[in-house]
Amino acid sequence: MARTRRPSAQTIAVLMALAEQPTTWRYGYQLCQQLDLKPGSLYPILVRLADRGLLETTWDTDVPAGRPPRHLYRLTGTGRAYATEMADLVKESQLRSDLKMGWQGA
Amino acid sequence: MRQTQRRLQIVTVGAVAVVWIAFWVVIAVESRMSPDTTVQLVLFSTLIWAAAALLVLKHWLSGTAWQMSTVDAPGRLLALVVTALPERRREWGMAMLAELAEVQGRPARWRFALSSVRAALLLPPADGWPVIGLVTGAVVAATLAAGPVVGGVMPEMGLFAAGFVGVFGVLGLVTLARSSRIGIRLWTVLPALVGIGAVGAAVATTVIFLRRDPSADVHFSAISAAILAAVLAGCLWIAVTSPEPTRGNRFAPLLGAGGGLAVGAVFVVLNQAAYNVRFPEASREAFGLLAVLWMIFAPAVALFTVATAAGFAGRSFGSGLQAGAWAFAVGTPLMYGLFLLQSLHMYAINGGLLLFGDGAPEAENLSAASSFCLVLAVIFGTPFAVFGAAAGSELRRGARPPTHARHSLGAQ
Repeated sequence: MARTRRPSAQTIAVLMALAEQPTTWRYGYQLCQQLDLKPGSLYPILVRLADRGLLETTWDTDVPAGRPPRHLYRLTGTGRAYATEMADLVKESQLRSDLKMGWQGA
Repeated sequence: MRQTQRRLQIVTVGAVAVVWIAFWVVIAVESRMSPDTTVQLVLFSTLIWAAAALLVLKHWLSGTAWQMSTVDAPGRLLALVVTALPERRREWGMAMLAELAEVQGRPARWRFALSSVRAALLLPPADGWPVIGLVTGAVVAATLAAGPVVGGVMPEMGLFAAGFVGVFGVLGLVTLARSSRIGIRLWTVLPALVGIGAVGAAVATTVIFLRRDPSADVHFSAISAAILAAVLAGCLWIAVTSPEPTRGNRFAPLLGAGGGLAVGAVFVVLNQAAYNVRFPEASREAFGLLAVLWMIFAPAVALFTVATAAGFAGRSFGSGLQAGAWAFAVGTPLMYGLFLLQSLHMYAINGGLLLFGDGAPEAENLSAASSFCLVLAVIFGTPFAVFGAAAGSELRRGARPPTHARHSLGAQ
């Protein structure tokens, strides 16, 4: 992984949502609704993930007549590893935060 | 959809008119042109440029994104933005457009469309924002430095240098932001070398002319320098980045560059004949007239011809435009450079402006070269590349047998 900078909370949320069912293809609108994100926030994140090879995309042509093909997304192998890494990082920082709160409360 | 298209056409024509009115008013004030001439030039340039712009708009809107847009306003707005996206990012725009089709309810559709427009406009550039930031800094620094550096050696060329570097830098930045595929392709190496050579020759002849006749700087005003800088930077940009449409043709750059070279070569032949003392005077006058007519009309004719041929051969409007752009990039600086070079040689023979011999000072050839070879080519030549591209692609479409006929031919 070239970049080690921690991604934004929204990017982590997108990664976690995609990692829930890693083999399932997801629609953009579906992700927007699930994460309560606007497309203006979601799509730049998806573009960056795809540019870094963490996300694979395909077109769903099996759509009702008159509807355009829809774009589908899922994590690549690298993307899944990255999502796991991020999940561990989030857990670790959550734990650190809980400990700090407990220490201050004592 | 049709109403939106109509509005876009009106806005396009209006924008073209505003640009030409502003341009000609500045020129009229600068050169004390009569109001009648100014009005005629505004009308003529607006007419042909508006026609060309409407043709470009028509072909632009025939893109998939616009065609798949829904009937409501949010869909049309998003489709318009998606159509303008660079090729390698258009897939993402199409994805947003497809998702919009799933959104129900007018307020929700507007919210989704507006947010998607924001996303489409701010999609990360091909090389990332840090690269764009660095290049922007380099362009600004080079533009600011070019004027004083060149001006220190040759004050008359300072403004030209700053303008040339600035315009070329901005065009390069836009290309970089829209695509990471900057670079000369194998089949554009030869045309690119010719184009770069033509721009270099135009700059070199300007320097030689100003060095030989320092009084010529009065004919190299700020506006003349800016026009020369903008045109030459545009030509160099075409030669270096070789912008390629989606359905381009590999022969289009060669065809265009060949057309540009032919324009320059015929101009030299006619000029030489017009000043050849071995020919009778009547023949020389006829050659001189032909050279003047060639100088005025050849750019438009050449651009139209190569664009038609490439549009027909490449079966697309884009191929025609590509060939026209190459013909302009090679032919325009070449004609300008040749005009100046020839005027230096011929002034001793006939005096005055090249081909006119009206007793005007030699220095005036500099402003004449700018007017005849740059301004005329840009204003009255370039729209003909669009007309040619449209004519070539339409001719090809007309020449193709209808689908059912092709099927039956294939079955035989």
